[in-house]
Amino acid sequence: MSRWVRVATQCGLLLAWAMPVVAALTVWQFLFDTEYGVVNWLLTELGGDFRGHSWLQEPLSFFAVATMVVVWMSVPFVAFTLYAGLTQVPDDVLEAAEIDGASARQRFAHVVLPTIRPVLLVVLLLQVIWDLRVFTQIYALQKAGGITRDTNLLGTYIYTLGIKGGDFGTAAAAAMFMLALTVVLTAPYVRMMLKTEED
Amino acid sequence: MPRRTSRPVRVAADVVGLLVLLVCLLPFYWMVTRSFLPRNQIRSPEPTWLPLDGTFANYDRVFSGGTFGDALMTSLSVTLLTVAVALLFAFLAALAVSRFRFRGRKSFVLTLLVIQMIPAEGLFISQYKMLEGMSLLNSVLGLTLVYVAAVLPFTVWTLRGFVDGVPRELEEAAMMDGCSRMQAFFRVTLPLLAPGLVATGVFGFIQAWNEFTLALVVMTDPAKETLPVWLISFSESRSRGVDWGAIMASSTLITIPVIVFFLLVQRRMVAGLTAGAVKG
Repeated sequence: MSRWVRVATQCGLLLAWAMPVVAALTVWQFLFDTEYGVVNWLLTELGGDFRGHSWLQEPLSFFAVATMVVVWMSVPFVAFTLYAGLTQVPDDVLEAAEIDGASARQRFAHVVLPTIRPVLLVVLLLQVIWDLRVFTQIYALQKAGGITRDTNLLGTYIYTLGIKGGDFGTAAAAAMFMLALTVVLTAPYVRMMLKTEED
Repeated sequence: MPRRTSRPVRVAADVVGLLVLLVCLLPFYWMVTRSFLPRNQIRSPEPTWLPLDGTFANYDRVFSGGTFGDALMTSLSVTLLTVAVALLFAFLAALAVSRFRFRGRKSFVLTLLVIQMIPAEGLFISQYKMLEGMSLLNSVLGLTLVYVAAVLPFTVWTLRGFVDGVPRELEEAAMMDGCSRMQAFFRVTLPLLAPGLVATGVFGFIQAWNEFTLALVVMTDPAKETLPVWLISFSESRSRGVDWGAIMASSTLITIPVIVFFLLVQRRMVAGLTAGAVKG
């Protein structure tokens, strides 16, 4: 990658990351707005008829938009941490592997991947934990026109039960379920880590 | 890794990079341009792509309240203090976990991991009570304390991976040459961790800078609120509808310090420092 593209991409990622959450969610709502949304306008200009199309009505497209927002908000963190990890890959080892006849794919699998493995794993783990309890993005989109009942995720479901419905017992039970799910999903990683700690 | 790559590969990488940039930037661009638009143009059937006839009226309204500067100062001091303290402790802790074998090391590492799974919302009340007991409510120090606690597990954990990547032989060589162990850590290992320190530093900075809920709980005095809290109360204080233009303007202003911080530390994120340091 050319140097200026690299710095520009880094800055772009950083800007996306640094944007206050309130502003980010507001802008995404603007972009996908039913009446005045830029996405609708753009698609209509391109030939489709998307005037007045609601992206948040259908659960499927609601989740597509939500996924996009969540991914947009988490890519910078992952990219930055992994990039920092990649700078740790020793050049001379890569060169040695190249001289010994390793192909690009082999170099990646046997030199780069093992070096960034600890960083890669922790990022993976954190993303699983964070995305499992994603709340703000879903909540904001629901308020912007989603149908709450059809689009609840664990986080917003617990909120609806407890804070809105006053049924704290059930909400706490659901939260326990979420915790158990987190433990189950992260167990393989934790096991693997404990094994490497042995030596 | 500045490696020789063939031209087509580099062009392809450039194109992918620019695409990522575009998707990342669109919402940001939208925020900045909206901040220059008068109210009736922020949402209109025909979107305005370039605010050529823009106005600074939104920015005027942000500053006219007079409280933006206070919030900025609070946010800056809390954030910078958090980053500095967290990085120092994380560096030492990462060294301990990575370089020494001691009793309780495994449980310490496991604790770091488990802490991340506890929902932050579950801790608010105890954190509030704790700070109240130490009379640190509404103080920069108190908020810094809880922020450091919040970012430390991740910082230690990530830095540990980076310390593992620095060859132990370098420290040993330094100690042979007459460094004490501490000197070896600070003069040899610390500079080599620069990329990791930048990554975790930026993480800590943005975490502390954009944190909302804890700041709301701990800083009950309106004169002590941080920028995210200020932004919410500002957006809710308007009696006639929400002032989107001013929200976009203040959000743009809030983003600037992060960029400045990143540009200051970004050069340290260079690679290949260890390359060739250890002769086989």
